[in-house]
Amino acid sequence: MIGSSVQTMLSVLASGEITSEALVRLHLEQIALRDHEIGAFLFVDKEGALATARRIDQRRAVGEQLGPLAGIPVAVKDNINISGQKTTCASRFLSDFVSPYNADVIERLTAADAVIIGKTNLDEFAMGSSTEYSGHQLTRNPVDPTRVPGGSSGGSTAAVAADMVPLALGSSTGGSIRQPASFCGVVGMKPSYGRVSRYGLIAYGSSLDQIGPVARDVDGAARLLQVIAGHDERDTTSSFDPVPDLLSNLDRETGSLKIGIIDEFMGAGLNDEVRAAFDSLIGKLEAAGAEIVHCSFPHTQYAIPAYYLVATAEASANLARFDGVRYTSRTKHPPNLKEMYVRSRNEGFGPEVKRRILLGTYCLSSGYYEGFYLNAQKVRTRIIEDYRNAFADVDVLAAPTCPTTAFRFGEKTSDPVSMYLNDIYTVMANLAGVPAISIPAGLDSEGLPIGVQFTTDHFSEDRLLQIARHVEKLTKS
Amino acid sequence: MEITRDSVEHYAKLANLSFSEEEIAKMTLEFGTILDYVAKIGELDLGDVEATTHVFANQPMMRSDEAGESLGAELALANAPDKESGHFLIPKVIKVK
Repeated sequence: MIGSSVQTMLSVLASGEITSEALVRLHLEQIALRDHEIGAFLFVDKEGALATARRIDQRRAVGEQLGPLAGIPVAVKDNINISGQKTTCASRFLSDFVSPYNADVIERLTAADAVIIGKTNLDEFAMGSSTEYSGHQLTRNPVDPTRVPGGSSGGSTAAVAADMVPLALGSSTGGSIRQPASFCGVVGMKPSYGRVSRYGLIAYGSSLDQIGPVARDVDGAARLLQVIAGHDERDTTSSFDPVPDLLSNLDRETGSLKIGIIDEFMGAGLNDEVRAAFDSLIGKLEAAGAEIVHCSFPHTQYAIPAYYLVATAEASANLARFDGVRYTSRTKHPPNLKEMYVRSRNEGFGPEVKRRILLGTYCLSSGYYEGFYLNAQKVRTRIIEDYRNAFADVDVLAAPTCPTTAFRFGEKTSDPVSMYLNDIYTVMANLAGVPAISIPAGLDSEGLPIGVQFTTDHFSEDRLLQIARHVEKLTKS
Repeated sequence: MEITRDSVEHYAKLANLSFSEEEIAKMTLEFGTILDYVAKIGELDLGDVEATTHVFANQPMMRSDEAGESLGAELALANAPDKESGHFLIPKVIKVK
């Protein structure tokens, strides 16, 4: 059962061949077996998960109608609040913080009868691309433990890749679901901005943040997204756009597809083996009847600068609340209020978080605001126009998810800009708010997973998942 | 871009952060590199382009001003490092003569 698809798990649970409790126990055993090496989980709620599973079994036994993920174990990135449990954001600052309420996605998972099994590791406050900036522990890539799992949702993607859970929640500000999914060889999706409520997600860059699914296959991602998507009045940026049925058309023929390839992504910096895997997949799509065209995104080279300016500006404001007054951590014996703020923050935040707060403060400050922050927002407008132009002509955009496969520990931590460049193909979808998915597309010569990314227009997750499912079948043919 | 340790200290102060001697040397170098990189956007002519603050600006962002349920004092204070009589407790800010 471990390693099976969610679809299979649901059908054996429904037929009574296995109980939810037994399924949860199998996954807890897998965690016990693998996680001491991998380090994906910060916290495993063994007793809570078993109690939930037993309740679901009892309800199933009396013929009660159950939710769409009944009995399926799900892991949750540790920047999402679960009432009564710790939410640390992998920061020393929040080591003892206990969530006073549930995030909207947790309420929806609970209503769907999913079994939440634990919280996964991340780069501190989701700021990073390798999970190396976690203030708590390293997470290793299950495919090759000498390499990073990617980030910032590296715990969630590693947990799915090592079969410790079939599904997990991640969050994406600039690529934090797709990039680690690509590195670990699983499916990861960032929905349209506004599709999933951010209520209860600890904010990093509020105009970019979005929660999304991590799964072993496209079907699993669709099932999880179907459950977590929808309007929530507690998030003012939550969309009123009705959530389409993501499952019923998933396996239908896509019809003739016009696929755009972003020329600017295919130049220098793209690893040869990633390029070859991407080209080979595009060849298969063409052979299957797709029309391939080339698109230009002339602002590509400005996307990462714009992203880091917008994200850090928002982060500097969002993280101002961590000052020693409300959120568990306070320096010992502060001489006055100002020193209490400064020392509590210094003791609680790691180096990357401080770097980003500093950059955000700088670009919002008088004299630099127009040249940096305002211009970054203008670049954002240009990138949105680039997408609009592209989608006037094509159904979907295809690209490698990352320029390389998973890198080694320490390879990029000494040079922040080289770490930032890892997000080159993923940040634009966040800046424009469009949905994007990464799916596995083979291995390089060292056996490391390669991911391919597809992007469609705003709020067309049904179409995006259908196309991704079509591609997934081709990669396995 | 020329970044001095004084300017790093200045922005750190604005952000309620401070750095040790060792950290500040490293941060000054890294910060200069990062600023050089993000300053690329200055190459573009963006004069009359509208700034995007939010990707879907066409949606109502305000709710009606009606009181509703919220966390409540006890839960809101549950994570406070120091509290007293339903309030957050902080070091004294006003001098009493």
